Amino acid sequence: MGFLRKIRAVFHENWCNLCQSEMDVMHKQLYALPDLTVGHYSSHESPEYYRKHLVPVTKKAEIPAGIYACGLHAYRCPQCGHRRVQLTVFLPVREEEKTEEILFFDHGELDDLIYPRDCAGADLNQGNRRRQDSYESRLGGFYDYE
Amino acid sequence: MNSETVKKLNVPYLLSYILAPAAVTALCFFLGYTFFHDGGAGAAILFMVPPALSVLWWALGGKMIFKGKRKKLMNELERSGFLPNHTFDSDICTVVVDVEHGKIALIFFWNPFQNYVLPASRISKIWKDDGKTGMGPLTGSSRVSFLFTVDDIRIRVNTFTSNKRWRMDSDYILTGISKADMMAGVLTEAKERSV
Repeated sequence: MGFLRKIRAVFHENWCNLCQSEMDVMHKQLYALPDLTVGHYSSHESPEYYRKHLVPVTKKAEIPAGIYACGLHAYRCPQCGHRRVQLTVFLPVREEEKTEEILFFDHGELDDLIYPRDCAGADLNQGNRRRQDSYESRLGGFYDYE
Repeated sequence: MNSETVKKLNVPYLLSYILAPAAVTALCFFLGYTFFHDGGAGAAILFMVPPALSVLWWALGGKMIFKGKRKKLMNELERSGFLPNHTFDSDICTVVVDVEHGKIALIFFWNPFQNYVLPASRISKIWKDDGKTGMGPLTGSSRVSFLFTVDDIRIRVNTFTSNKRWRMDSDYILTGISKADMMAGVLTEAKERSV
């Protein structure tokens, strides 16, 4: 049973990776990530990057079009007390979300974000920043529906 | 700043782009047939080289001219104090937006020798087109774009094109929609700041 539960835990992001119990959500927060814009996504795994660039927002409508967002879920296991933070990086597009990657932090790397000590952080307003974008074209062989 | 009406298409350029290589090829065929009726190296050159160069010209010539003129426009804008806050390169048009001063610059693929720098207040309407067609599970799109009108001339700028239809929740379509929404927002902001 334990082995099967471990396999099932792989498919449940809110299950503890140590004891496979369902974890409680302790904190949820939506952030804008103004450093990443549509067409210019690059993967970042360093918690320092997210601590520096995430801007808390209350709802998706506050995030300007073309700017990436992050959903943060802080979990705590009621059985073993293990804490885990899940960060989902996605591009909000009207009612849809284009998920880029899901990151996990198990050692309190993002505690500064969850329990902020000062308010200095990134700014959602990008000011005079220069952006260069281009269209994308996908050409394939036979005309089919994908 | 330009005060003349925006022209997306330069008809003499378009016709010469298409017809000039065809005319040169036809002339070479005629010369080859007339002077090298019995074949030989001259005939081979006149019958093979011009068609090959024509195809190359049609495939790459326009893109090279447009790219060169676009680069020149960007250099001119930098020198004139235009702040290119946001540049969007599409297949048929490049839009450069100076949000700070409420100005836009345009250059078109089929009119590359003329560029336009206009106050964004001349934009009368801005909207997006996700190209959505079909019903139910067959809903999809092969083109996403943002559009705006300058002096009642509609300018379409593609953010995504394909020869296939893609589901509306595919990554390509979502990225195209996001770019279109972003550019529509940038143009709206520039229009609001323009006097």
